[in-house]
Amino acid sequence: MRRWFKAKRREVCDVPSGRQPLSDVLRECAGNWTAIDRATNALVEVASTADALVIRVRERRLKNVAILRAPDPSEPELVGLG
Amino acid sequence: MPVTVIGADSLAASAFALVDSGCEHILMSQGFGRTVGLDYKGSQREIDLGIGGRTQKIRFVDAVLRLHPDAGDDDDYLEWQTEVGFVPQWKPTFQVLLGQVGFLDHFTVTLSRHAQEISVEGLEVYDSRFPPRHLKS
Repeated sequence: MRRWFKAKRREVCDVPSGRQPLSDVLRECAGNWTAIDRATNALVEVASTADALVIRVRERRLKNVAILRAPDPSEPELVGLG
Repeated sequence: MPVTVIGADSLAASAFALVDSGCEHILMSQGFGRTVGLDYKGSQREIDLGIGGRTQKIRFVDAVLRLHPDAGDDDDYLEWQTEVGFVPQWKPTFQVLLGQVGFLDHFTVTLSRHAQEISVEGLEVYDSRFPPRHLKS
C-alpha cells in the first residue's frame, strides 16, 4: 500500500507557476493588513488597520485583490476560528 | 481561497477565506461586514456558537457571495445568496470562514495540500465521481 502511494506521488509539490508563495509575501509585512493580487499573490497595498486598507483599496480603485491580515511571528497558529 | 462579499448598495470587498468542513455556517468578522455595509446589528436571527472555548452570540443576515476562477478578474464570477454570521473579536488572519451550510452544501469542493490546489465544482460532480447505489446499474 505504501509503495503504491509513493509511486503515485508527484515529483515536486510546488506553488502554481507565476504565483509567489503567499507565506513569503506575508512575511514581508508581518502584523499588517494586506491587499493581495488574486492571480499572482503579489502585494498590492499595506496598511496597519483593516479600515485604512479598505479605504486605500477603494481610493486607488484596486481590482482583483483580496484582503488578508499578515500574522505577527509571535501569534499562535490558530485552528479554525481559534 | 478568495471570496467576494456584496453588501448594501452593491458595496463589495474581497477577502481570503478558510474552507472549514468543521463549521456548520459561513462566518465573517464584524469588521469585514461593516466594510461592505452589512447591517447585522438589527438582525433577529441570533444563535449561540461555541468559538475558541467560549460561547458567543452570532447574528446572521443574508448576503451575496462571489467566487472567481483561478486568476480571473472581479468581473468574472459565480454568485450565490446565502446566510452569513458575524463574529465579534475575530482573531484569524482570514476574514471569512466558508463552512457547511451556504458553501459546502452548494458545491463539490476538493482540497489537495499536495497539489496546493482547491477546486470548486457543481454539486452534480460528486455523483459523477461516486455514483449513488441506485444509479450504478
